[in-house]
This record gives sequence, C-alpha cells and structure tokens, in this order.
Amino acid sequence: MGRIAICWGMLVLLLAAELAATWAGYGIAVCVAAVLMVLVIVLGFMQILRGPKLAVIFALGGLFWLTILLALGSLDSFTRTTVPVPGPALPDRAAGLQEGG
Amino acid sequence: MSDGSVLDHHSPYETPLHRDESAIAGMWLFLASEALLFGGLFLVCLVYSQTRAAGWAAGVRHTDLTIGAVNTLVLITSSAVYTMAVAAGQRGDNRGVVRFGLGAAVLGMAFLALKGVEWGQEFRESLFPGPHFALHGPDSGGAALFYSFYFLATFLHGMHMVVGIGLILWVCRKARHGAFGPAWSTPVDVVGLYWSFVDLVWMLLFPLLYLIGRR
Repeated sequence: MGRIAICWGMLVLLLAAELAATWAGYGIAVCVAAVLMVLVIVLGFMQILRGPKLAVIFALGGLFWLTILLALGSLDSFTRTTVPVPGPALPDRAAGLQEGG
Repeated sequence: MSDGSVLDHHSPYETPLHRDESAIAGMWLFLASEALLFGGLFLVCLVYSQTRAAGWAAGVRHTDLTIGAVNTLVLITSSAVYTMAVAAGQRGDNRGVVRFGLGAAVLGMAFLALKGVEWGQEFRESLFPGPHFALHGPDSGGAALFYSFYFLATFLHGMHMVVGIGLILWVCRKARHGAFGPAWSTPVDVVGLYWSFVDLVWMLLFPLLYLIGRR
C-alpha cells in the first residue's frame, strides 16, 4: 500500500511540474516530466521488473519498434530543407491563365 | 500468485506458475502491439507539430486545460486504486478486489463523463474539422490538423477506457463469487496491466494535446 501511495504522490507532483513548466514556457521540461510519469507507471504500478523475463523482453521489443516507427517516420520532415531557386521569380500562374483565356 | 505444483498432464503448461507467467507475458505482448497502434498517432503529432507549428499551437491553446488536468488526476488516482485491487487479489481478499475495482471503474467513468462535457463544448464551438471549422486565418489548416488528431486520439483512448471499465467490472463479478485466492489472482493482475497502460497512454496524450505549444 505504501508503494502505491508513493507512486501516486510522485505522479501528482510530476503533473504539477508539467503544469508549472507549461506556464513557464519550458516545453522540454514538460516532455521530461511526461517520460518520468510513464516510468513511474511501468515500474511502480505495472511492476515490470517483478514480472516474468518474457514480459520484459516483450516490453523492450515494443519500445524498440516504437523507436524505429517514430525515428524513420519523422526523419524526412526533420531533415528536409527548402532551398530557394536562384534566378528571376517565376511568373504568376494565375495571372497567366487570365491573360490566356 | 501461484505455487509450483504440477498441472494436469493434458494442460499445455508445466506448472501453475508457468500458466500464470504466460498470461502476464501474453498481456505484455498485446500491450507492445497497442504501443505501436498509438505510436502511429504520436508520429502524426511529432511531424505536424513541427511542420505546421503555428496552426498546431493555435489548436493546443483552444483545448480546455482545466478539464484536461482534472482528468489526468482522476486517471492517475484510478490507476492507483486499481493497483490496490491487484494487491488485494494477491492476498486473496476478494472483498478488497470488489471495493477497489469498483472505485477504479467509477473514476474511469468520471473521466469519460468529463471528456464528454469537453467534447460537447468543442462541438458547440465548431472545433470539429470541417466546412464550419471555427478557427480562421493562415494557420487554420494546421489547427484543423490538430483537432483531427485530438478527436481521433481521444476517441481511441476513450474506447480503450470503455473496454478497461468492462474488464474491471468482469473482475469484480468474479471476485464477488470468491474466485480469487493467494494461489491464483491472474485475471486481476492482467486487467491491472491493461488499465495502467490506458493510464500511461493518457500521460503522453495530455502534454501533446494540452501543454506543449500552449505558451
């Protein structure tokens, strides 16, 4: 019962920290608090370390594929750069269409 | 949880411990697949919160932070209360399982009720993406993307809550008939893993929907 109360208290404190970080404009601190909350739930409520070894392997496997999904999926949008085309500006296509017809 | 005695030779398991550990590991495998389901949603959020940052942040600013924060507190408490039911099950305390299980289910229903109130407000304010979307201007496209993500993510999470509440009520019904003892309470444990996972997903959705980009 003590373990559960401690975990609940930690989660409430982390929620308060998230709200304070939002008010202060620290987005990174909000992310850190969210990850810590996930860890408290997995270790404190779900007690993964007391579960069978196979459960730990499945959890780590899920985390691994989730990382692959997020990393590969977001790679393009985080690395693409917009390079301006040198030379004169292109003619306005809408204006050209009006003139043509 | 269970002893190490040998089961019937027709059983696929060598011992009751093997049977119970298989059930726990099976639930973790299911939760790993669920993580990938929600992972697709998180990927959408990751990409569009960067590529359409201004519109996305405009959407975040329109969500109701008070209801979101209260709901987070309700869900944290519900998860803690159900973990008490898991502890009661491991002691063989069936009355404790019913008491804590019903407490967790009621808190889960309170979460859904508050979410319903919030959705009602948002529909009245025309925040559902479509031809009558309330937010206008150059960032309205990004805001509409945010609200598409918001409604899909909260609906999907809400459906998981409904399933979780149903499972908790099923566990309570079994406990009322004295089904669990110190040697066997695996269903209480397995449902606890699912309920904590639903809580965990909300711990990630809450900052994405209500906090990051608000200021």
